[in-house]
Amino acid sequence: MTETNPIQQPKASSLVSPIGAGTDEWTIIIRPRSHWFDVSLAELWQYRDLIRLLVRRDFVAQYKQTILGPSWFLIQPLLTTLVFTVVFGRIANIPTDGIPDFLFYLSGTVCWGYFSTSLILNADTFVANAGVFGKVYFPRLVVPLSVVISGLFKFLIQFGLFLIFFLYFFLKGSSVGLSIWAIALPLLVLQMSLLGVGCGILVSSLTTKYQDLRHLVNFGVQLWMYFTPVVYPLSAVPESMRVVLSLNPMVAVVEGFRLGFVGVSALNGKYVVISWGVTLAILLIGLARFNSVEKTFTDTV
Amino acid sequence: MPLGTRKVLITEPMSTVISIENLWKEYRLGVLGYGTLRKDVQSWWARLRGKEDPNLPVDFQGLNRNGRTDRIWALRDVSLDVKDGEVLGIIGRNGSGKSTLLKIISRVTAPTRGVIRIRGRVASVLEVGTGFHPELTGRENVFLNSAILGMSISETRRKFDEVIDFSEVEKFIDTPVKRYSSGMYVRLAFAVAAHLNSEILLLDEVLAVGDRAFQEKCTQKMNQVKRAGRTILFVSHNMESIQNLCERAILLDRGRLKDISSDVGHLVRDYLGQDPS
Repeated sequence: MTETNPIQQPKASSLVSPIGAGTDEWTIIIRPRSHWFDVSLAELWQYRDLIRLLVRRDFVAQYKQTILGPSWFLIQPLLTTLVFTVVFGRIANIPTDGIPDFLFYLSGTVCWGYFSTSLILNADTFVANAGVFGKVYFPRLVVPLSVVISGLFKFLIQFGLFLIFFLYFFLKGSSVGLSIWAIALPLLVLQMSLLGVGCGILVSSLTTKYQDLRHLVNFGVQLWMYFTPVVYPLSAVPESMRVVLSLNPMVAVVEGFRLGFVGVSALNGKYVVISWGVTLAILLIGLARFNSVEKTFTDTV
Repeated sequence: MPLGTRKVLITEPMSTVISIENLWKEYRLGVLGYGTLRKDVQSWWARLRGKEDPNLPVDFQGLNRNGRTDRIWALRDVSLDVKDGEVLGIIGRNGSGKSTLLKIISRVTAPTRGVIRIRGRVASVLEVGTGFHPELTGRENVFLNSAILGMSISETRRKFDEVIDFSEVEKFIDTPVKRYSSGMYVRLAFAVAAHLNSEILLLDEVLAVGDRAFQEKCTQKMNQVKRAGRTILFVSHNMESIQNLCERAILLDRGRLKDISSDVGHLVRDYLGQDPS
């Protein structure tokens, strides 16, 4: 998109009174283009109540529209894990680092679920909210933030489910055990959130220009999962391919989670650094694109 | 007249709350930014080889390699000051830039050139009911809608009874709005907007909805808002309400500020004279 720059400086017009006559405390100044990267955290904070209400709306709407209501948050990962256990564990016989396969797949599914849902929902930000965005102004970043926060609640519920199964297998005497790395959980959750927002807003900014991407998102996320150790352990990947694979930031996240909560993983520090680097890069590019799109996208959609 | 003197003293430093300087807004027609990746790659590839872009609109091929000739200026060099507490009417034919002006002031879209400076909060009611979620109850939607329009939860709580009272949907406030009649829906939405704590209110054709009685009520409410000293920018095709409510009006013509006058009646006659529709 080529943007027209302010070619001429505004010149004084007879209709405009001279600025400065005790008028220096303007609350809002509207100009053609913002700096490519200006996220006003103060402004987002002002709209914190909106974020809260949007998160609430997500839950309430979902709860009201379905018979099973919030239990879907549990049924979904359970069924997925069950299918994975049968298909990949029992039929394909993929190794699981000696961890009970059900717990192994559940750990992958819970992490992947949080990230992929954030991505898919955020990728729709502009298209799904075109109606509201076209009528009212609020910091557009409020929407992806609320999506990630409501996703976080779902993740915590699912994490609780994981802990229950963990406890079951632990008491049964299976080879599982917490490691010291479990304390890194907040960091892992933060990384998943940043990555979900980053990828989501990047895609959503591009979908305002390229419609095709919308169809690609769901499909792309499915493929992405196979490049993430969700249904197989990193240790099953040939050594030479691991560095390449670690460019996918979710590799270190899923394996980091397993390292903390089942105690086995082929993860090393290098992959974690690469993973954070890629995550932050995606987030920054996403924010920059989002910023440049949010001001004028209503003209094009 | 001591009373009159006092009034003058209070309102005398009529400060500017919205200052618009040389505002331009350009829209692109024809070649929209909303293409497909395939086409963009195709165009890019053609240009790279020095060939003609296969996606150019036929009429423009000779004019511009990029096909960017079909632009329209929705606003051209509009400059305007709006004073504190003023009710400013905006009139003009379809496509003259009225709604674009309000959209830029409400920050829904950005100007192409120019600057606007605003003092105070802006609430726009460009179309009532925006952001209502059908599954949520009236109560939940009041809170959500207010938050979208920039109010905090505690502010909404303080105004809640007033809003419900005005909307006359008290009995159904805990019913999902998908079961509301369209009249109830509109009443609730307008009530939320009218009770916002903003210093500046932007209204675009809001009075075109609702039945006669409700329109009457809206007009009353607007007068009340006006008396409370809030600034209102009011777009309407209804010349009667423009004349009744506004102290000053501007006439837009193909994006230009054609006229601005405190004699609203004169301006309206002028506008109706040039356009017999």
